[in-house]
Amino acid sequence: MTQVDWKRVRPLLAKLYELPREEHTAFLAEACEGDTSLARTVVRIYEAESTDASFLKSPLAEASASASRPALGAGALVGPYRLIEELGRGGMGAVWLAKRDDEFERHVALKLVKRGMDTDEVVRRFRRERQLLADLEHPGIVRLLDGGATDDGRPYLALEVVRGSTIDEHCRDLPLEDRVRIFLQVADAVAAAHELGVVHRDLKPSNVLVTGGGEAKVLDFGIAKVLSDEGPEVSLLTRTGERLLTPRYAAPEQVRGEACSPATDVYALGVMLYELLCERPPYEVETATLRDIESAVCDEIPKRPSLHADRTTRRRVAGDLDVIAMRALAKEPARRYRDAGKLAEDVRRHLAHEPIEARADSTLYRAVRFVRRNRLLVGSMTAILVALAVGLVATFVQYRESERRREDAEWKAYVGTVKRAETAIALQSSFADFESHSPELFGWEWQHIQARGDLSLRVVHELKGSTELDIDASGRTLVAKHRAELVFIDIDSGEELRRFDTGYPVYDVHYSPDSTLVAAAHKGGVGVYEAESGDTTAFWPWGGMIKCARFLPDGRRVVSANSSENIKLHSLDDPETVRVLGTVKGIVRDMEVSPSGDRVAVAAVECAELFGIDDPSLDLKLKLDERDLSLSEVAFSSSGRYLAGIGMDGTARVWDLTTELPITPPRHYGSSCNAMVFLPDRDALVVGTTTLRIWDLATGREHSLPGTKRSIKHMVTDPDEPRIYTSVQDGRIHEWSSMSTQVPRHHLTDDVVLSVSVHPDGDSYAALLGKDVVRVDLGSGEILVRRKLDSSALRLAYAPEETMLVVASAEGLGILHGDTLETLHQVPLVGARKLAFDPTERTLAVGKSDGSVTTFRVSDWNVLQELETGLSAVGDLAFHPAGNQLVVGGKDGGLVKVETGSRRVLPFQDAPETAIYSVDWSADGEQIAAGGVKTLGAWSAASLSPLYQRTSAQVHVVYPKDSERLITSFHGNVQIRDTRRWDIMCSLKENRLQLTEMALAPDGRTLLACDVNGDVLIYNAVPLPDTAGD
Amino acid sequence: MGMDGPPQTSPGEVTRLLREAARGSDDAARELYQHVYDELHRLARAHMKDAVAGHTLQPTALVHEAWVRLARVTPSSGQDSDASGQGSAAGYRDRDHFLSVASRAMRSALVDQVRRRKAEKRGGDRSRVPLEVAVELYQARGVDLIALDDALDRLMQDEPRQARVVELRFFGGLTTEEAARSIGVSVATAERDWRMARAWLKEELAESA
Repeated sequence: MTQVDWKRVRPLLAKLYELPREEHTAFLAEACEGDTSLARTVVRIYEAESTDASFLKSPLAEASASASRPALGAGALVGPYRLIEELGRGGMGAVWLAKRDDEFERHVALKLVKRGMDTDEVVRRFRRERQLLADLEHPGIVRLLDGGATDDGRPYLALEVVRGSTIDEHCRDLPLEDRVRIFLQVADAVAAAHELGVVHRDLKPSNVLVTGGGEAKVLDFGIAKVLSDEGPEVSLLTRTGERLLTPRYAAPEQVRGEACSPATDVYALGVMLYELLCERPPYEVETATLRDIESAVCDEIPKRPSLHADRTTRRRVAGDLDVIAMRALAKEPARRYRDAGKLAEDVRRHLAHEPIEARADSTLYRAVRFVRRNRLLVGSMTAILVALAVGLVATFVQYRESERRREDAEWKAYVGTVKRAETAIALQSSFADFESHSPELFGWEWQHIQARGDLSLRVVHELKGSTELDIDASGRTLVAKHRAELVFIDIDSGEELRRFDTGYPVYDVHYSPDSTLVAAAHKGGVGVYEAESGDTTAFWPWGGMIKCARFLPDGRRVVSANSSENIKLHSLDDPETVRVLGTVKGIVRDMEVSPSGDRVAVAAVECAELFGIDDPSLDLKLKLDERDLSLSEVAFSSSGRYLAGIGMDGTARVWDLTTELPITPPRHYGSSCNAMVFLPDRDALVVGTTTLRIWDLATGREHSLPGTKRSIKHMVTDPDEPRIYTSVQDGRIHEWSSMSTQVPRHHLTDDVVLSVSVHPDGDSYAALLGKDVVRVDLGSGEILVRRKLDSSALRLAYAPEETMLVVASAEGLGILHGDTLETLHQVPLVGARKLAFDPTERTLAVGKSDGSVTTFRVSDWNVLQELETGLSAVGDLAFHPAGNQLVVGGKDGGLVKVETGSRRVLPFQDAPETAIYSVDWSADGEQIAAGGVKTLGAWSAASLSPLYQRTSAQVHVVYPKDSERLITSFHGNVQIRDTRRWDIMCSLKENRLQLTEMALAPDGRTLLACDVNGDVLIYNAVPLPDTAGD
Repeated sequence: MGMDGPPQTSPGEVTRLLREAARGSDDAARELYQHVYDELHRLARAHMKDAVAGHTLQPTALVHEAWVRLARVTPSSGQDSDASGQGSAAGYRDRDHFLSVASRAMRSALVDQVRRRKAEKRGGDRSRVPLEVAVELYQARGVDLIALDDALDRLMQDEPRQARVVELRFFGGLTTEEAARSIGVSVATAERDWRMARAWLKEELAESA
């Protein structure tokens, strides 16, 4: 074996470990510049490492996993879950019913993976898959909620709890058509996953449960991938030890260890369909050795299911169902249905007596189907006419298609960016870039994402060639250096206020504590200038480059550091006397004064050096471990307790000045790290790279903010607020107004928050907590006012443009003062449930438990109308934006439009038959959305015909101002859909248990969502950009 | 109690040594390492008695018990507090730091044991030698501990961090997360270092074989 040139191989290898596998070839082709032997060596070494999972696997780790700890039993705690009862045991381990042991109190099915699987690997794969799996929100898919490792290192997965029987058991005594319908539900659920690019890989009857209500639920999505070995396509039959797949349902490509695709799931669905049709497996393997099954799966062509079916069903299975099952069971993946969606389509066509696609090539077959479906139409003339019409429509559709395709591509690209941003928010990493998209595509999701990330990053000003900054004591003005000038910038407006030429190049600027003066470090001296006039207060000439100048807290003295050697103390009261505080070896790169002003810290070679200002006994040298390493930055915490230093290599260290010891192992931030400050309100270090990384010294935790793509050169913090100003090389000054990417959350009670409504001034909101109503500051979450009600209320709503809050209870309406929440007036009204204000007529509509609606004039609370809706009880109601019509959803199903003038009641087409909890009318008046127990739908307000409908869990609906989006709640998440295409563009996952209501602020931007845990979540959003351009 | 008696080091002493070692004191690090090394041997002996009495040796116990005994931290509370009543962050950091020292000690103890065994050839009562069970667990992995030890020394010259990751994970039995925290790098970096080191060692050990 020839000697490996590690100097060349190492960097290439390192890159391979960073890149996704499919990019390896392209990368090596370019990086090796035609040196194929080098490329081959790198690949050989990479492969040797990747394929030997056991190499250097520590026996200690394994021993610890198999250590004889007491077996986990009922009552044991696994992560945050307490085990209640063992539900079952399988190849992968045991499944337990468990309950979250914290405030969520949620029941889960906890899958405890058995010992012997590589915990690290499983958990790592789980994390990688989690985002994708979290997107799999489909009523037919059992959701994966959480995952982690037990204390003794066994991986676990927490899943939604489903009670039901397996599909084969459930279907045993059902008629054929019902079985096919249940199978269709399964195929639809798998299709939803395929749309997201997720393949199940292990579909089998024991993974499909049917609830008592006849709903099919697919279990363990993506888990096969999470639990399978590295190289997910390793043949599962040849492996010794645990087999993950059930060979009866494994496709030939899986048996052979080849790549899985949606067609792999289609095969497993084919086997399930086959068994549902004739209650027999497709292969007759008597002695079921693996080898036999393998050869059967790969080579044997199964008989058509109808040949096995009993006499009563044979005729119905023969034909379409035979064809569908056999197509799904094709040996080559390419000859099967491409994905579960295509399979489902054909099953659906079969049920509707339409021609199935699997037979599309047979013209005769089509004709037969056509006749069966259109018996009345068939006559030769009619048939020709129909054919012509179809042709015309097809041509027109084709034309429209080509026009729309380009639009769709742009849309898809935008949705992709939104999804990346959503992931970035979840991972607290750098942001997706929206600049390449047309602002016409932007909707509320963009507004919210910007508020979460980029626009907590505001460009305050742009000053080319300037990086050093300081902020005044009020936090309203920045001073920046620009060549020989001092430039003052108003933070709020971003305007330049004034600039003065000092005559000497400036390296550093620092405000005096009262902000009246600015000290500047120059090439050639130290200057102090009046901040208002620019007049020189003092100037101390000094040869060479002065790197830093800092005021002491007394405001009369200035410390300066030469680029080498001396640290000097200057006094404005005695300018003649300059005292040398100390001498430093090498170049000084940074210097800071402690908050108390007793000493100054200098970033020096191999150490952080401190000098006492008035007391030499405070001198201190904090040494680094590395030789010849210089510190580039130092910073004191605002408490004065900690000193942080960052090295030229990007390593940050923190010393506790009370013990003079480092408090923790250093952290590495990479060499692009040039700036550092402490937050003003706590002991948290902020390190600037291309983003801000916030290291909380109290907890040791660290998080990043979604940042810029440019390297941060300098930063200052607002003196009071955790708000940071940074400068980057191109001169842009950014304001980072939020130090967190979390959605603000106000915890108001330990019980449920039933209803929220934002005050018309937009600064506070009212919330209903059982019998209490509170007004809460929207910014701080502080409860400003609390009032007790006489009886439990259901709903509250602020009157628009009026400081008046209406509370609905079963006895009537309480009219409260919008600020003080004092009761102004009581309106008795039996069964008041829901409220809707009409802003134009100043009318309040109240939906009642008897299904009727009473409208009131807001000014005097006189009843205007009693409207009958024909519904049994009102679930929710909303006004048309023009006020003359109402949409009313029934608590027991049903959706009607009521014209208030004529009192006409118009029912919607395909109105849900299950409870509706929430309705909204889009601001343009064109759409109506309704959500409820199993319903999410939107209808055209004009024709009352459905635009979009899906069976979904409990959903609340809100249209933002622009009507282009619909915001819905799904369990504890907020989802945003586009109102033309109805894609889920964005899922804002805060992992809440159940949101009870959502409300938009009057500006249409801030969304409040309250939940059963007593929290109100505040989803902020920023204004949309002006699409007209500026 | 004889040779299985309590450790010679007081808990406060270990904490002090840890802190000093963390500040870069070579003397403190050496002293600490010696304590851990001695403790590992002592514990291995103690466990041999258990093994004779029918219990099997749990090698992680070597590292964890060494920590418990040396720093007087119970395993369950080890991540939350330490005996001197310091905050959780400090306790955690000390634990990481300790595990890192212990990993190195484990490496030396195992390699010394193999060398000793070679020197003794077939003479002596092999199975009764302390640490032998742990050595056998490692040998069962098909790794030549002495060759690995030499290779790691070479890797330490070029890629010291990668070598440290191997020490922590292979000899110390630490997870990637623990190793990352111990060195002060991100988990992703620790994972990459681990794979780079594995790649290099695989090549290196194959060549020397």
